[in-house]
Amino acid sequence: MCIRNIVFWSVLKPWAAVIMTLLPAFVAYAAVPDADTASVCIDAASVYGSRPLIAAGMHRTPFDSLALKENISLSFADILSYNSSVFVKQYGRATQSTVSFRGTSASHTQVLWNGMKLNSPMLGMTDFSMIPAFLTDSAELLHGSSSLQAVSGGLGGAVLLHTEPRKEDGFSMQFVQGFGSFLTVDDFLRLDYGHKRFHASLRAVFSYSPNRFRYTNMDKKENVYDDEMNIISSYHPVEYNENGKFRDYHILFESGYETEAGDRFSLSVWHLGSYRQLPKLTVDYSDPGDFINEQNEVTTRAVASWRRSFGNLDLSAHAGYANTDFRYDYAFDAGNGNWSQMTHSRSRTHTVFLKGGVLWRFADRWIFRADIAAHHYIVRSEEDVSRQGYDISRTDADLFVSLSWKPVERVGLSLSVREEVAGKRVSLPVPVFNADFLAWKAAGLYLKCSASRNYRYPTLNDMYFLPGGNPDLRPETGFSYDAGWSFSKKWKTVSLSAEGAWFDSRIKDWILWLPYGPRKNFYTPLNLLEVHAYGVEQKADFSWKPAGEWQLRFGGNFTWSPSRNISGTGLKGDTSAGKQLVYVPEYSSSVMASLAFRSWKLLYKWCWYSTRYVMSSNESGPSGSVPPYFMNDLTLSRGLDFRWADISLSLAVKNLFNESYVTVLSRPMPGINFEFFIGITPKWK
Amino acid sequence: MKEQNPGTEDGTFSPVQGQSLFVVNEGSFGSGNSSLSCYDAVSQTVTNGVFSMANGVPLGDTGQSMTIHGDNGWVVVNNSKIIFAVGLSDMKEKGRITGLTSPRNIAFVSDTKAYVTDLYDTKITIVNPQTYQVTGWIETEASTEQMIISDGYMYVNCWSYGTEILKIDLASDAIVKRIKVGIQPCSMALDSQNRLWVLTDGGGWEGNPAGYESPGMSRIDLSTGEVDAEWKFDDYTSVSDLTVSHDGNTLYWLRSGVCKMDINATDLPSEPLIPNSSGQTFYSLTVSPSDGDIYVGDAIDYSQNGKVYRYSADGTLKSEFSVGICPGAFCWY
Repeated sequence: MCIRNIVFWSVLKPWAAVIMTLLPAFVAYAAVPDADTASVCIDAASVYGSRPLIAAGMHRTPFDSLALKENISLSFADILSYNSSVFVKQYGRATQSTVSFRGTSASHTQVLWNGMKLNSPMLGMTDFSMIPAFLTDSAELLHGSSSLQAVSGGLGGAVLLHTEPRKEDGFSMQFVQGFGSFLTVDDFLRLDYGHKRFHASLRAVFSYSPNRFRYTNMDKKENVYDDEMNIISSYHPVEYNENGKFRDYHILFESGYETEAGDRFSLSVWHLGSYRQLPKLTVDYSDPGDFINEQNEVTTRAVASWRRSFGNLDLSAHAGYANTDFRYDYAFDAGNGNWSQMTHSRSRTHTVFLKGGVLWRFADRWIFRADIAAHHYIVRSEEDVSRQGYDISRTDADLFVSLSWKPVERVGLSLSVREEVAGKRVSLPVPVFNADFLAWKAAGLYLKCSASRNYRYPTLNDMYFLPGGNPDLRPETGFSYDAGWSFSKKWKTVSLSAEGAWFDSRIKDWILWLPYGPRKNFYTPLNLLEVHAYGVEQKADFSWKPAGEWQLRFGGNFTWSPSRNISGTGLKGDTSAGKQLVYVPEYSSSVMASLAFRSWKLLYKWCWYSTRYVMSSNESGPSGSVPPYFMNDLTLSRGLDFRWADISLSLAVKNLFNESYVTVLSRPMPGINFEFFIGITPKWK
Repeated sequence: MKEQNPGTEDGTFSPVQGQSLFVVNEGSFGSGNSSLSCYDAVSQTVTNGVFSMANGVPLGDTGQSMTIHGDNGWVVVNNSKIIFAVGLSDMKEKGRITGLTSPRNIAFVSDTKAYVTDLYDTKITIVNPQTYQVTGWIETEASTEQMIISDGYMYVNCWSYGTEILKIDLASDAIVKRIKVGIQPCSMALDSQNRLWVLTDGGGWEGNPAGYESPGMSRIDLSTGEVDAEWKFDDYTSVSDLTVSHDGNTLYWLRSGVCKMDINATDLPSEPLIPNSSGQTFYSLTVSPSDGDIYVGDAIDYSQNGKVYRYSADGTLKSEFSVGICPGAFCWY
């Protein structure tokens, strides 16, 4: 974080908040009331104005094609960083990327892939760096209590990911080759085939990089000694990011078939293999050749679905299976070519998923919806050196019933109840209430609100890990409400949309892992904290086509999310009560702007995060906090249209201004870096 | 209680010999925010971050222990895999020892030889403190922890998954005897009658590769090298940090508070001298060599600055002061 940016932002921050808050209101005021419907769509943009009854009062952020496809090498962690109010905690490409949604922890964001949970049943969280954007065709965020429309346990919210084959008939292919800084290689292949009612798609992703970038290590000094071993000078060394290599591959197969009677069948199979080294800390003085510190993951997921509409009745059924083999090795060179294991951890997870749903428009302005879903987990976790781990299975199930009603044209109401079972535990029914009101039809201005209870059951590690697992843990319980508005308007050449919300959530029995046992050498989870997470989310999108071949787009997010530990731990001397949670920024913002002319496109992305505290007592200083930082990326791309193929060329520049920054304490980050992509889409016809 | 703020690079902190207590704060594992504090027991002032203040860089990840030899303090930083030698006059770095796997403690045999124990490497590393070079290894076949010198021998406890005390000839660097004690001997203390007291934590959990039993205390007569007395605690409450008063006549350790026992007692105390019933997280312990005051490190929630409580020898709280994250070890100067 350079000084000029600190000064700049200290001036800018209050104004940014005001601008992001007032802009949508100004837009609503300035709108010309020429539309006779509130269901306004914007080209390739988020759809805010469209408010089907089933989504009444929901606060959701869909990701458009521009966000998902602007840089083919992005992971979903990058998508979230630049296009949403979610904070992503990561330290470089191909490193574990977890999220904080509305000030909650990583395990409070539920992630569904084609309806099946991606959250690790062991840890509760999802590593978004393992989800390439190339494999995602559509996605949306459900904020806070809106997540209960899809899944329980999302105290912060939920991320829904979908894949689908292209619907065109015939055979098509797309191949993209990327070469980047630090010897990075990315390959992307997509094959599609369609014939009448059958469509199939095969996608493959391969990414490799030694990821050995140079940086000046300000956390170390190298000494210069004289002949008598006296230090005569010292300097901050220029080092490489050692042990940061990664090699990931993904294969996604999809197919779909629709019968003449209207039955729609689909199958999605996703296989991934990931080898990743864990980079050294900036304060690690060892020779990287003396240690192995790496993880391997092989995961296969498959979901089969059936859907059918019978007039006013929609039925669906889904079945899925996932298998993850995860290995972590930490070893040192014991000499003579032998490696001695310090940690030799293996875990295998099997997940079986079943879901059925019904949606019934049983009367004019009434919708009844019910889902029943079950995930059965089988987990075997073992660490050979210390013999830690467990072997357990558990079935989690939930039943969801919802009734939506539109009493008058401008009002949508929805009352839902979700009932969850985790193993032998049964939660109290979770009620959800959503409402929206079309306040200004011509401007597409909606007011909306929601309120709910929510639960998150302890993960399998929380309850069963040996040593330390605590089978007596209570589920975390939350009460959330939010209120907001959304606006969407389109003129002849201009589209505007905006959305804002106030949210407030109180979570009791927040689970915290604390050292335990002799010499405190293992951890145990306890229901210790009460957390109050609240704040404001603002989002605005603007699109303008000033002339036939020009298009300008702008999108911005601003989030203020205090997330306070209001109870403290109750331990003597604890000063964490009232403080912001660790690694949750109070402020964050992102901007994405693109300018397209004919086949050229320039995309600029910017994001900013305020201070993240490392210590629960919110101490400032280098040991207790990570400084705020800006990040700027730029992508220039061009498409070339030949008779035989479409060619795409793209140059992505990351960390445009070569900022020196960290996102996690003692983890180095790369300076300015580049990646060039060339893509080909042959024209078979 | 006066507290000073950590200074900046090229600060001028200088500890006062005979009244200074260094506190090694582990920090949060993997965060690189370990630190070193120094408390003046006479003026009752504490200075935090003395290493970074003097050297302009953080101490590293998981500071483990500190030992004083000659004019230098030797700070072992476990997960940074380094030992810093710092001059006690100004706390500036004099040199460093690297090439270690997971160092825990350093003990000095002479000005040119020191032993370094290791959590994961089943070898004790021999180093030359004058050249900061590794000069050899002692194969131990076990993880090693604390070291105590007596009559030409080094006694080393094998804590992690171990059950033995090693007796090493300082002249030959050879293990001459392995003394069997309870499961996971976590700390040792040498009393005034040349007896080595060993606290065993019992393994901590069912399934520990070393076994699982209630914690206990063993006493080894160093003249014979045999265990001459053993006690078991009534339950599985965790124990740690056995230490001895300066005169070698009183033992202290942590178990639901601070326990105290005369070396001639026949039974373990039934109640702690200082119970931690008020919600403290006692994590480390030392006894002042000058006045017998008891200092207890409190890690609180392990992710905020910890505290050190100072008690008189009879267990009366005298004062408290804030230090860095997770105060895990002490060193008197």
